[in-house]
Amino acid sequence: MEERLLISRILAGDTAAERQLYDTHVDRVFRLAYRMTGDATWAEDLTQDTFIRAFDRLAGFRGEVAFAGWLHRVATSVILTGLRKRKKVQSVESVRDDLDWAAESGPTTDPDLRRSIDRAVAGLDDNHRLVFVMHDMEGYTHQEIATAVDAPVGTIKARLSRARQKLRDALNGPGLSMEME
Amino acid sequence: MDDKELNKMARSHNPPPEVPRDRMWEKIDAARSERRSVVQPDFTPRRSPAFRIIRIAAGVAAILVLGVFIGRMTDQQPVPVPVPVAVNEVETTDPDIKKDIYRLAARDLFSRADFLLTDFKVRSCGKDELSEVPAWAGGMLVQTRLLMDTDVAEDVEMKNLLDELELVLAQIVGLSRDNCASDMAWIRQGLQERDTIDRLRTVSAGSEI
Repeated sequence: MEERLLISRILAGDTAAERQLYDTHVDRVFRLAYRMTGDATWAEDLTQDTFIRAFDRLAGFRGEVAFAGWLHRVATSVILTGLRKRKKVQSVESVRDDLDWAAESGPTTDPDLRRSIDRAVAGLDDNHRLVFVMHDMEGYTHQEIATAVDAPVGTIKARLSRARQKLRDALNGPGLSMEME
Repeated sequence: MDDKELNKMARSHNPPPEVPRDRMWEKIDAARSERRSVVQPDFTPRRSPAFRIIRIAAGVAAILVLGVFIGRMTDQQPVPVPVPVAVNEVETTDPDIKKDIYRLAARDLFSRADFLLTDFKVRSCGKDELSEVPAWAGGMLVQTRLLMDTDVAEDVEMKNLLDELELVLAQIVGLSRDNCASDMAWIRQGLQERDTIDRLRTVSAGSEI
């Protein structure tokens, strides 16, 4: 209810309401962008683009889904398009090298293991990685992801299962199984 | 490693840095202010081409949503040949604007088709695995046929891609339980040979084929 009021105020030109709505949702959008790109600066750009686009299109928000779901639909579109555009000018390998999560990591475990996980996650294709990151890394529900990518819940579950299997295969591959134990 | 362990490891691994809220907001606010300053002074009744594009695009989108609805309602039944309503609904005399609108709609369709076909490629013939896919493809098939009747199909490359998409979607809609495995293998082979998914991806990302 309060969010609807905020949206009405934004549509009436209230910039303070824009900031309030931004503050409510920005953390999740930024975290998702960061997990998908592994690059803080790039994640900032994608987050900014998401909110600029969302505010521009806010008049078209009809409330059929929760605002967070609608916003994440914009965010996933911006993020996936950003990733694809960059891949067009870089080889897959160099993109994976760009996913330098290890360099910005917080407290974690063995650096070799960390690197293995980075590579395994980065090695997933964008659609599988998005579902894995949203569910297993950021805690989105199946329904939230289905709303964000506009696909049936069954598809999301199947995709998550496949992403996990691919990760397990990658992490248990030659030379890595010892690190996992 | 089971799902719980993988999940636990993923969540604790490389957390994102602190969110630079203020820095990002400054840029968003600046971009928004710039747009407002451009838009606000102009209250003349004459509508800009951008406004017309948005208005017409909204009309096309509404028609495509209607197409999805029809596709889902028809479910496994044969998909009806669509009436080319979209052509009549787009009321503009400017052929370039018209074409731009249809290209936008085509890119949106290709993006969603990429998602569907990528998913379809790794599905098996199990009842649960395939239950929702034909209906999902049916909705897109209606949209594809609507777009084939528009100006966007004047572009040879776009027309080829729409033709291919129509073929593969029709194959998915018509999957029979009896020959599911061989039909799926045939469809997958076609996708691979024609490089369909990559081509859809290229166009939906915003560049030409």
